[in-house]
Amino acid sequence: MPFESHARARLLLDQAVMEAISPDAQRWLHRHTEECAACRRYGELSRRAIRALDFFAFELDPAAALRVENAIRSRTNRLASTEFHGRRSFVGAVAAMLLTIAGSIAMWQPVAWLAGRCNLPSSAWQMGFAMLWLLPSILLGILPLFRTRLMGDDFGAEGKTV
Amino acid sequence: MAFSRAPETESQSIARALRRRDSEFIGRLVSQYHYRLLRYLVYLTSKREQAEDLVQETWLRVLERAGQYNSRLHFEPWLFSIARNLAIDDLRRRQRANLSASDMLVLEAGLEFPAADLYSPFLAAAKSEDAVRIANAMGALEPIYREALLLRFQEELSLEEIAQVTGAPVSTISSRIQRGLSMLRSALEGEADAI
Repeated sequence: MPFESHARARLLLDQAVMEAISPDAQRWLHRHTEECAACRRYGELSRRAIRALDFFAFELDPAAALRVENAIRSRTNRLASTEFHGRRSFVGAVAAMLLTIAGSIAMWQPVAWLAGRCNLPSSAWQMGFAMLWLLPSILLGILPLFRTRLMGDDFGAEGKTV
Repeated sequence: MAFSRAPETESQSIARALRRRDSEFIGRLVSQYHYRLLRYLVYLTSKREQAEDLVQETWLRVLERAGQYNSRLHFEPWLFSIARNLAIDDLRRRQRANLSASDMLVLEAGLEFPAADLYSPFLAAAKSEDAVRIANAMGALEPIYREALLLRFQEELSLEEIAQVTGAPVSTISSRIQRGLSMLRSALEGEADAI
């Protein structure tokens, strides 16, 4: 039997344990290994080695496994809660900004009328409007967005439990 | 005419649970993959205690990167690649003081895990006569071959998935498995050279 046949057979035997080989290749390999004891042994040794890997097993400590599971569950819950608060703060901030805009539009005319009655110059009452109405509204609106950062982020604070 | 929705695949369920922070589902997932993840990390690092720490870190990283999981791909390769990167980072931290710059480059390529202690973990886990021989051979095997064999034949990942975990081309993975198998065959035959 030519050397190339053995080389091809061993290449196919290696391929066959890693992934599927074509039916033609399978048939050829089957014929070859029926006739060639060395290649048949090569294939058997590969299969034995792979089977032996299946016999590796080690004891699992159920308590350690449970500790990991509980730690991950607890972290998941904390993340869910933080993300929920984050989303709620964002929605709150958007609502506050919209209310600020709407409120500013609604208040502009009455304040202008009042300033006219009190003979206040435009720049003065507009500055006052911005400082006493617009700025506090905007600050109150965006404050919740920074709440987590201001109060401290507890991500990563959890120690190892394993 | 109403069309029924296609059933959700396992990967899609996992992706959804990770995004929604479903602690019940994630708890089950941790339990389901605990043994396999620990086994992979034990064989990768050769240290049981280190592997147990890394298991938890892996899951914490999974939670952090939940949004990056692509549900069109299988979960295992993604999980194992996270575990592998953490193991490399951990090894890098432990060895930083003792490594030269060139060693660091090799380490950063993810190729230089320590050789396994011959008595742990492989021998401790060997449950048959062949497995004892293979355990000795595995202990002596270079880590890149050992990893390829374990991912293919214990974790049953495809060549493409192993390539995804290790970041090496499929052809390289195939060569590593062939080379590793050749050494295991030698161990079974008790010969010095491969068949």
